[in-house]
Amino acid sequence: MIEIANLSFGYNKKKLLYKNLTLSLEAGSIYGLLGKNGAGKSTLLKNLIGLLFPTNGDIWVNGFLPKKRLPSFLETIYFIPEEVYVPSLTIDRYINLFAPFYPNFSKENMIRHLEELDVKTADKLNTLSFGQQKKFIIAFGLACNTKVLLLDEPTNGLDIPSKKRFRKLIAAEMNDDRMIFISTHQIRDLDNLIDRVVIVDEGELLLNASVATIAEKLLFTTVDEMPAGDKILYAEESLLGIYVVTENKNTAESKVNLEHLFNAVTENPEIIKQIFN
Amino acid sequence: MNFRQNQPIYLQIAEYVCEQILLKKWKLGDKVMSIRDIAVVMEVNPNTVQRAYDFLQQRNIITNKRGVGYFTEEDAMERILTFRKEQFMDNELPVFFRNLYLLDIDVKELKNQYDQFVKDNFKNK
Amino acid sequence: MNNTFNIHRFGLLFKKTLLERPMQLFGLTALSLSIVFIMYVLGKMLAGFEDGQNISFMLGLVGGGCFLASFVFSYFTSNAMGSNYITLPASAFEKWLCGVLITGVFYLLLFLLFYRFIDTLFVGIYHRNLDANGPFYRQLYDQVQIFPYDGFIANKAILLFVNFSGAMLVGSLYFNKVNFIKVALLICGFWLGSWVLNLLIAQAMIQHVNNAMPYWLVWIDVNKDEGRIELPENIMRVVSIFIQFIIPATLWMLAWLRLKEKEF
Repeated sequence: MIEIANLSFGYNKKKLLYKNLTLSLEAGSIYGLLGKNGAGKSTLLKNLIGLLFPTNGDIWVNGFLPKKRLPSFLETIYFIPEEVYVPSLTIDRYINLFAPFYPNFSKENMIRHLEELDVKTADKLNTLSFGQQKKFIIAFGLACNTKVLLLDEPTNGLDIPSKKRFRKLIAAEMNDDRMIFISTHQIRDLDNLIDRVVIVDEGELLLNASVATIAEKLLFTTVDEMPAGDKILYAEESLLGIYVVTENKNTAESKVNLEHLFNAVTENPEIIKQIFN
Repeated sequence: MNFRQNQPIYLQIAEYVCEQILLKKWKLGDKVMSIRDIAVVMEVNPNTVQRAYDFLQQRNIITNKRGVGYFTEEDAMERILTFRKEQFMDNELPVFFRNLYLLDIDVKELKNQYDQFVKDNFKNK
Repeated sequence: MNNTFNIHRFGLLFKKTLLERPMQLFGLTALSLSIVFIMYVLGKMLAGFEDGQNISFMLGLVGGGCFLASFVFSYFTSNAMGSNYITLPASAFEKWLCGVLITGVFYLLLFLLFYRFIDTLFVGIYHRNLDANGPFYRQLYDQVQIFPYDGFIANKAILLFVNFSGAMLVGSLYFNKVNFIKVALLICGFWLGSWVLNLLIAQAMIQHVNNAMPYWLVWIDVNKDEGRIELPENIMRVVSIFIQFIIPATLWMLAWLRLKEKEF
């Protein structure tokens, strides 16, 4: 569904943000793109939808080169940036003007999403609060039923109940034909929704694996004392003991903690590569 | 739903399904909640629920009737108990024993308290 | 499906473009036309009928056209708005055509109609108020005529309009913020530069240059009188074609290419 081959990208040619990134993403999953601030998560999303063009290498999305921005490509993908734009239109007017561009748009779904996200107004959209505007665009983006949905920090700006509603909506709207690609550093907001994790750091792809595979290969436990012998990939003191991430040598699976995973991967990129290859 | 720290989510979902049957909220032979509904209620990825249901199917606790949905097997009770016991022994008992040991409590001491607990909470059984 | 032009999709896009920011789009057009009206009346009162006609025509077409041209692609003031515009499933050609139609066709037609309307009105009032039996009736009557759309001023105004609004279209795709002012400054700079250059070249080639007007006229001092040197007609024709067609066509096409290639 998305093929990235030897992608290099930089805002200027001397300082590349990505170097030879190769990555393949499939339908039917919710991908979580994790990376530090400035690691270029938004940049990657913008390359996928053709807002930015690769410096080198190729990107194929739904069989198209995004940088050509063909209408038949653009109607298979929807991008929700961190800060959204809504014109001075009512909900009905917005749907009326924008939805016809998306052949699979479902007005029924749209109305249901708005209800589930608790967005209702007879006024113009731009009079809504930032969070409400964002939820409106999320509802619209999901209702477009595009094969690929790109979300950049979707939970930023949402209040606590809205985050919950958002999670429920994503869980309900996920299906085997679509792919949802979420870039975030608010891991806890989306913990159990993400079923494949992509971690990028310093222009490199460090990990692209399903949560199931991660649970097979790595062990996330709480211990009283640091285990001797095993290589500790990450450790964190807490009231309940020490959280540690180690290689999983027996078959027992533990619950993957994305935050600990992220730290383990970015601190030990080489070992992680060995474990996952 | 609050998930516990250490156990994979799909197993916790599988346990939840079994729990509903043990608590008699869902009857044997009946349809269980759809994957989508569970995913929404628990705010988890539907693929994770799918994995839990696959697991329960392997254990012959639920069965997939094509086009209709998942149903609990009529004779699943014994297997549910086996599964739950396994989970309990693996996950909860070690913690319990650890505390007994740290607090220096004699296992024998607990017998009376256990009987009382059953009497208080499950009188009807 | 055609990825360059599809009439149905273009219709949707055009509707969306008009109605997405109706207050700004129609407001800007209405503002331009009101200014034309005010300038017409003021100019007529202060500088005479003909000057009023000329000034308001020039200003309305060039000024209003530039205003609108700088607006039709001004989606790049915020990140979200720009990406919304670029990722909307329509081709760059269709998006470009929308801007071109609004500025180059609809505004132009609307302006010409409106101008002819107020012009007819005021000229009519003037003619009716003349004393038909007065001694200079014929002269006074002939002095004020409806502004000719094929005259010298109209010609020059259209020339400036196609060039400047073309520059505005391109400029609004290069400068994301306050593009009108930036492009206007560039045009002024360009104008000043070419004036100075023109003058310097004229001075190098001709003696006693008094002043020079890009690109066809040089005034020279002849004793106490002034003389004019104009470009020979055949060369003038080549230059005119360049300025009337080639440069504006290049600018307007450049806007399309830029829209296609714009990264945001």
